[in-house]
Amino acid sequence: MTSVEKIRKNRFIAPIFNSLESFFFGSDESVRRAPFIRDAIDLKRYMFFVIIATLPCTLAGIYLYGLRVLAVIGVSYIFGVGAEAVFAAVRRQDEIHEGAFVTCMLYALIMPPNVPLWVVAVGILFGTIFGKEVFGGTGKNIFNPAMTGRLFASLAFPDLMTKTWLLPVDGNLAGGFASWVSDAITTATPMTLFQRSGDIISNLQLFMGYFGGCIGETVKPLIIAGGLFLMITRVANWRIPLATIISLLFTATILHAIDQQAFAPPLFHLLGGGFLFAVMFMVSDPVTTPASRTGKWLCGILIGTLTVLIRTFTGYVEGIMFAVTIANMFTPLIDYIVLGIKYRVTPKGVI
Amino acid sequence: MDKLPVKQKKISFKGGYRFNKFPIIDTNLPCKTFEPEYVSIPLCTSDGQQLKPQVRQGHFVRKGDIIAKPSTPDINLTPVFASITGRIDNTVGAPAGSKATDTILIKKDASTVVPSAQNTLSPIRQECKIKQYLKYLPLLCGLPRIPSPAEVSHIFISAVNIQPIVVGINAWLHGNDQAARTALDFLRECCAQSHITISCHSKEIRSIEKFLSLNNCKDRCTLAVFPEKYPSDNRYFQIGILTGKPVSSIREPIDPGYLFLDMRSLILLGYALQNSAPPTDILVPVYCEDPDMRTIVKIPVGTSLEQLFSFLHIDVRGNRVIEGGLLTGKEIIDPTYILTRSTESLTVLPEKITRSFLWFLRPGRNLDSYTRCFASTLIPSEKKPTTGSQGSLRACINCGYCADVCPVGLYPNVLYNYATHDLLEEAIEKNIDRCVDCGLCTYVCPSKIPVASALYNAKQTIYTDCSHLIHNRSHCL
Ligand code: SF4
Ligand code: SF4
Repeated sequence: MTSVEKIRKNRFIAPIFNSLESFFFGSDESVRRAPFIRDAIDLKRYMFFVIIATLPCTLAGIYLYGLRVLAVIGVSYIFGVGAEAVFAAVRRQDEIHEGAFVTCMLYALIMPPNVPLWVVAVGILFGTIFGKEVFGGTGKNIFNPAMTGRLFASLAFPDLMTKTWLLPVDGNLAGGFASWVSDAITTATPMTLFQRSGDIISNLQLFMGYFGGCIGETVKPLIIAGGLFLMITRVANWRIPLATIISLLFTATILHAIDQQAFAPPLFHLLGGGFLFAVMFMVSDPVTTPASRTGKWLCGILIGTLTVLIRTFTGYVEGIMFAVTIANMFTPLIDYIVLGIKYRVTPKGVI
Repeated sequence: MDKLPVKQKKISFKGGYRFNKFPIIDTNLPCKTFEPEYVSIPLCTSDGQQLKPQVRQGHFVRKGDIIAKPSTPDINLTPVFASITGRIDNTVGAPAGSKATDTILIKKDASTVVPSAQNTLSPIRQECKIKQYLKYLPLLCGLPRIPSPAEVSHIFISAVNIQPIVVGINAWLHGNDQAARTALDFLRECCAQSHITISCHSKEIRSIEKFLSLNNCKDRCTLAVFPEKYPSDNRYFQIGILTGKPVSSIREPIDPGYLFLDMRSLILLGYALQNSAPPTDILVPVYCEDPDMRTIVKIPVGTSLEQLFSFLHIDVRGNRVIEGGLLTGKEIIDPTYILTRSTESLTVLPEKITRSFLWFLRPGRNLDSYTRCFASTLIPSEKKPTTGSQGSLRACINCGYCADVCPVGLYPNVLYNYATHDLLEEAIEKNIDRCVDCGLCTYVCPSKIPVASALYNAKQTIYTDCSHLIHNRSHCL
């Protein structure tokens, strides 16, 4: 047995070795059954495109909040992919499944930039293990693991997650690329500011993202560009994001019309907080959202409406986290109902 | 431009997939003819019934002679004909690997060739001729029994051939147009009550119109123009769309009132009519990577793959030979495999797996994908299909590509779950029997899940073990 074969046989090293091999060189399998030719897309490229789409947001995050962002991403990857690798070995998989790479990236981007690194590690471990692995890994999970991790972190360590926020690095052109971490601190994001005092910052400022917030969530043009990129390349389905945005605007408009003082204007809901980021990168996650097209619309509407309601009527400003997680829970039910209606049994037979 | 000779009907459907810039077989040469030294003919009908041999070792047979008949005198079953002139060499020895239990081996015998006389049908009365030739239709269109002209309400002639390697209509008709015309005239004549629908795809309207304009068949013909999307050529799918009634591929056979012929059956029927002899030859489009080798050849039933490929000088080493289309066909491993009427086409697909460093970053100008993740979306260039699976098996990520391409509007991912968990009743409820086995769902799946074959297996189980479930439902319908 050559050493390479030994590695391939080893239960613990094999998943990592094979992943690396097929990651760099591609699959060497050929099809044995019809159809004899296959589409060139595979999960590696599919997931890789999501990472490409988040790249502008990542760079913007570094530019705004300093190089420490890289440490957050690094810790997220080490623990997230590590957990995935352990489970791959336990399940005797040949390879680490690619979903983890996206999860870690998205998770890091929805963390506050000054979060302690151990919180990052705990959150991603929780998200990966309880959001995904206990259900059977990528593709079988009910919850979006990145969202689950973030939700866990903000419920378990509310002080560390929401007390203080970094303001963008000030000064020179290099921005955050020239400093480790921004030293300007604020205690409020635009969302909390509105909740506490009713103050609203201008839509333009919200849109350009020059304020405190989570790493990847602030610069809206880049998020929109990333989302559009995913939709154009067909990696993400356009139905859910569209439905979510429309229903959010709709609900917020109604509430705002009822009481202009108490309820934030619709555009503020759209551009504030992590809504757009979550819509473009997490709501469009196919695994945890319905399979049927009608189901996608329904799920989008549910998320959009819930977001506004939670933001408005509860103490949690990041309503989208709860909305997505709740909608994830309803996904199987939505699919069941929609398919049941589509193929309903009537006295005349199945339609 | 001349006035349109026939009524046109534009067909459009949701789903399906356009294989962009895949190779086509559009040869400028008339189809080749190959007469092998020996043939071995399986003794069974298209639906697998065994027939009784009528000849013995050493007998001399002429092309078109009956060599086996049904053991019961069932007038609805067609006999087996000798496909070359020669001597019977062996009546049992089924070659290894062949599924047929009995075959007859005929060796070409040039020394005793006598001009055939007894098969000529010209003096026989017209109705008899029609009756005689209708007998051949089961052979050509895979019907289980002989149709009676009165019950045929629709004749579908499909000139669509997208599999994803397209066989152009000009390639079919080059040198064969006279035969095709003869057959068309015959069908119009004998099934006087029926409506004829000819389907072609949008790019080939001109060619088909040119062909039809020489047949004076404006009256009962409709030209159904299909989009240039796979699976426009699938017979279940075509009939479902053209009649407005989805055809269940579990409940074989297709309505006996529907006669479905593709271009190749039409041409073969034409040759049979012209020569006044039973159709004993088959036309096989052969695709290879080398464009000069692509051709359509005419061979007698029972030629083996070896013989054909040595005639065409095709080397199968490092290649995979596939019978039928790339998406629905089956692999031929045994070189002595016998080509019969079920051989719709042969594809020699290179076993090439390209592995390159950081392959997932490559632009992919000649890679085909439903997604738009490759440069081929922007700058399409000629695709070269190979057998690489392009990725490894993963769990379903619910991406919905399969549902987007499914031409009959199913949710293959949901059905796959039912099929693999033995929930057949649920699968039937969700219309699994509407699946036309096009294979597109497997093709597009980024997780490389063999969805279509799982559905196919589930349907087989339903058909054999629980057809009552389907029947219960069809009562309701
Ligand atoms: S479910 Fe059947 S009809 Fe639909 S894409 Fe798959 S094989 Fe084709
Ligand atoms: S294409 Fe494959 S991965 Fe996507 S939904 Fe269908 S079966 Fe699942």
